[in-house]
Amino acid sequence: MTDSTQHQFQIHLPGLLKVLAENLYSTKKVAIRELLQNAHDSCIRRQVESEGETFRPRVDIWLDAERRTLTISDNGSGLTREEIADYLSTIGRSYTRELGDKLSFLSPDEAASLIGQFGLGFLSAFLLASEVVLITRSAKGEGESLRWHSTGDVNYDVSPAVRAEAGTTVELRIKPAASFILNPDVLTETIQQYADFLPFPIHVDGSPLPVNLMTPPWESASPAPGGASPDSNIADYIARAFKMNAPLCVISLHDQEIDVGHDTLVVPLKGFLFVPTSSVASVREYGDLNVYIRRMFICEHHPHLLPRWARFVRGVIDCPYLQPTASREDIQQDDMFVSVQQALETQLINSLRHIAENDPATWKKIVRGHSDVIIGWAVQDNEFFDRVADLVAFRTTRGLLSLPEYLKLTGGSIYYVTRELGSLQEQVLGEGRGVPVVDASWFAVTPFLQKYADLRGETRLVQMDGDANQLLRPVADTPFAALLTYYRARNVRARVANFKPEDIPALIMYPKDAEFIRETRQALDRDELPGPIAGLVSDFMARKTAASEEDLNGTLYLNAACPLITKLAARPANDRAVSQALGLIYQIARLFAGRMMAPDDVTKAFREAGKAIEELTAK
Amino acid sequence: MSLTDWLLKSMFEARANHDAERTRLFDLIFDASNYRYTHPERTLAMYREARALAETLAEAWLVMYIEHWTLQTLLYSTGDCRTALELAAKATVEVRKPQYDQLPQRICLHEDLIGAYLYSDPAGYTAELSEAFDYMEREISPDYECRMCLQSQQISFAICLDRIDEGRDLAQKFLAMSQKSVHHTASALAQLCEIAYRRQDFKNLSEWAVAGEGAARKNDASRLIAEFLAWQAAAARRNGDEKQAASFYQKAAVQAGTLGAILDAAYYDALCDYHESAGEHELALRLRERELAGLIGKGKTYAECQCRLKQLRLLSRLGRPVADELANAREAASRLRNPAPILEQIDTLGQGGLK
Repeated sequence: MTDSTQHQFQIHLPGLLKVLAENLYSTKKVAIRELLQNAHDSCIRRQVESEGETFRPRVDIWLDAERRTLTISDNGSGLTREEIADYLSTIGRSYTRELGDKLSFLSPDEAASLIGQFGLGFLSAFLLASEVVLITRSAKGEGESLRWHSTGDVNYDVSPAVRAEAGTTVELRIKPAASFILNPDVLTETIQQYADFLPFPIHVDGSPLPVNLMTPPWESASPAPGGASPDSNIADYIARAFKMNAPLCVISLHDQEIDVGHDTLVVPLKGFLFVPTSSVASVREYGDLNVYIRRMFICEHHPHLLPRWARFVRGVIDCPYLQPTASREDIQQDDMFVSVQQALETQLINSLRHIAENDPATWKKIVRGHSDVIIGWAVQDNEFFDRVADLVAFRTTRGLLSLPEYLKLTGGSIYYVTRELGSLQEQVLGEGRGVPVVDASWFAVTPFLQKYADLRGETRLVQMDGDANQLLRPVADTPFAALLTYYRARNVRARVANFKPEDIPALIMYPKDAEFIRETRQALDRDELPGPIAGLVSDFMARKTAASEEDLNGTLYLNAACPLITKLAARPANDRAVSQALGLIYQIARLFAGRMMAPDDVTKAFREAGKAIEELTAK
Repeated sequence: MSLTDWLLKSMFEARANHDAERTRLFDLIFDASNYRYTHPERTLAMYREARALAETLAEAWLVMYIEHWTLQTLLYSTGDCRTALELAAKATVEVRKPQYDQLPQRICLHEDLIGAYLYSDPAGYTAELSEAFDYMEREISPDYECRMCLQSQQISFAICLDRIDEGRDLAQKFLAMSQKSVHHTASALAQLCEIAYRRQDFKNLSEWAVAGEGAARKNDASRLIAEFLAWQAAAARRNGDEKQAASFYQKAAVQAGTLGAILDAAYYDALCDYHESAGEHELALRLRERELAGLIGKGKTYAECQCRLKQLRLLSRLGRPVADELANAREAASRLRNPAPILEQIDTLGQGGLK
């Protein structure tokens, strides 16, 4: 048996820094966030540890482009020699996390306001700097001042220093590759991106006014629940952070109780949701949130916190239950994440219900501004469907109508076409019977209508394209026998029906898929498909349809309600003008149908029609 | 340039030219595929929208490209062979036109038509499908990716016809061919699992399933992950490891719960074997009922008949009345082109045999 020996892991700091720079963080700018967060936590710590002392936290940042230095100074708790060794120089050990653990029972509010966790943040300074000098004086005890210095390799120096006040100053000697941060505008923008809402003032180059707002707009504003007009602070924030103006409504977030099965849980929520003016399905859908944790910016456009049906909503959330990932550029999708999702969904549903009940005008704007997105997602989600089913507006031949508005006009049936183009004949027939036709060419409309009809048993769906003869009423042929004889003699299948509008003398209807059937038969006849594949297509055709060639030529429906047709039917059968008129009517009907015609057929139809007109006008 | 490269190039051009309609078209095409297994109905709806837009923009190739992916979604996500068959026939007729001669998806649409027959009535169209496979083998050069889809179809065909040794040889060849594509590797391993199960070879089943799960996870193939977990559950129980088996079963069920796509017969075979090997026929029966619900009305007649036979066997073992199910099974068999072999099995079961 061999003796086992224990060994310690060795850390190759330059390698670790390279990993941090290239893999953990997406941008070097996060170093500013990490250092500001350390300053923040240090100030919180001083507040907690120095009971009774009057303390005004402050952070100063100085730029020196000539020396290529950036200095961040806070008046927080500072560090002792032991703390430098135990926390600042021990990778993965976080004083803040340990302080948070200690405080979690005694001072939960303060514990909750601490941000740091991983003990990795300080290392990120080397993303920007080739050399870091830290001068610190602890607020504890006699307050020894110390200088810590590192160039990012395995060694660091600690030596005595001079510092009058408690706190910490970090000086970064900026690498050439990170020179951008020496630009004051870039620095200010970075501070505002990450630390705009940290509760302490951050001053750049001694400016009297802090560059950060300190108070988030959602904490300074007080919009009513589901209020239509946002507070101006929030409107400004939306314009700045989301580049959007005039949202349809803003919903303030507040703590939300959720059911967790055996118990309830109150999820602390701050921030707001808003509904932009419009969306475009799949191209400009939203459903995203900017995420803060204890006022520190984590990430923007997080796509999974809001329910998936809420693609017409955006917003900002600040929730201490969310846990950042090690890079603090994303959040962990753990159990608490699921609880926050649940809380947000509950609150959003309640707020939308409140708007729908108390502010119908705003609700109407929301549903109409986002109808395509709402229709698409409502098909997927029954509860959401129930909320919006009667409110969504559809494009119809009479403009935008909700389904209850539409059904009032049709008495219980929904007539729709699935093709935007080539459905004019069907739409005319619909309107002729006094019913508007829904344009269901948008992908989710048909499933939505089907779901609506399924859930409301009395609603009937009528697809007009390919099946418009449902709007034709059969009538007795006898009074029109001469007209039918005329067409029969010319191999045109003709019938008489009653339909509206009365101004239309005749229509031609074709079987569903008539074009495909004819084309496939021709392709098979001409051996245009490879053998074994042709066999399968041929089998499909044999099973699919028994449509004859005569069927494919269509059926001409003469309109018994049309005064012209009744007049022609009353004329003598051998009247030449009647024949010419019937020929003309047939060609017009073919052209109006716009189907089953090759270019040659169209030319021929016009030629025939022209000939008939010429003969009629010659008399 | 591959078709994907061409699509990406076209998309970037559309963006650079501020061509909002084409940008929207590409966004729809690419976004739709994200929902293929979780929300296949949404994928289909987005393809419908994309197709209409492509037609309006006179993008004929893109129309056919979208048709192919619609067919893939119908065949492998919603399992709607009836709709797929009609669409595949129409697309096949359309792509014969000269403007599609250079379209790579032309051959894929032929493959989709074959797939629609393969998954609706393979035994009824044995001769036609064999001829079609021969034709496709001649058409597709060995280095073309479609060759792998074809290989996979041929394996499914062999398994359906109970030509298990032929299926095994083809699947092993498929596995060798697919080494550069984790997607196809996972498919090959799924078929090897099915073959191992048919041969009651639970040792190999377990090995293929473990390897398959790894490949499927690399490819984020959520439906196959569920299938491999189910196979591991069945194999573990057969190998006497109850704890491990229960754990795999639970994982498989959770994974399946995330899917909007229907699950293959292999998934149900695995979980039913898990129950049946421990005498839990009632639980197996419930699974078969769920499988059947996903098949009815979709035109997968052969699979429906097979499922009904398995259901009848379970009912017989449980000593339950089978009259209604016998009638339903006969009705399903009557929709096959050659119903005699299935009807014979149904009759035997009706007389109390083949338990």
